[in-house]
Amino acid sequence: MLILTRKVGESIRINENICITIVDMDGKNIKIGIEAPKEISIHREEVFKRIKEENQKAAGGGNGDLGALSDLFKKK
Amino acid sequence: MSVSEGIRIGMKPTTQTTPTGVPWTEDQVIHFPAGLPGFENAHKFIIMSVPEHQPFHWMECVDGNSIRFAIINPLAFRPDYQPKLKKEDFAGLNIVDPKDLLLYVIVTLRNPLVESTANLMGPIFINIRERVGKQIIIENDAYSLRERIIP
Repeated sequence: MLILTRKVGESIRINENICITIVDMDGKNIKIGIEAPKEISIHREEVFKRIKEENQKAAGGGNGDLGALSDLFKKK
Repeated sequence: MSVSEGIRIGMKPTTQTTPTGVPWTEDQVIHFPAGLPGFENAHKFIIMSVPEHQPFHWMECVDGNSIRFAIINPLAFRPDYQPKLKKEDFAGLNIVDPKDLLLYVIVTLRNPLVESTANLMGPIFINIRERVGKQIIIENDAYSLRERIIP
């Protein structure tokens, strides 16, 4: 991992089109501004990880009985 | 018109079968350019709807990844579902007419089945006209990752 030291107001540029700025610091919290093309998706790592893990769990249910679930759904 | 174009226009799409044995043709494919989180290499999916499974469907991968997801339109069990999304979230879906947009969420089948849940934090949007889709991640806590479908 590349590690750089930055002050508030300073930035890091990745390629020509992504710019990450340290906007503010308040104790343990650091506010980061990100400028990137709109097709680049940006997420908090822990949120992304939760979605990824749930997708993997859901894909594991690929042999499940959707007909039976449908019956349960209609009965509710 | 070149010879090859003439042949292509005259050809019917070739029927193939999914890993679970369902026939499909290229014109049914929905493309996920970014894949799905956890399955970044899965780009081509087919949605299979049969009356006995309603309101659920299978969304099966057809580009070599042997995976499929049960999906449902969340409005079928959460009519109030209306995640706050930004214009940028829809980047890449090339939406011209909002009527072309289909909405699904992924279902995690559980044992017992009645405890199955849907992922309301990661809805799948499909532009059916362009046949392109993406899973959008909702960053706020307004919706559950594991919402019971049958209360």
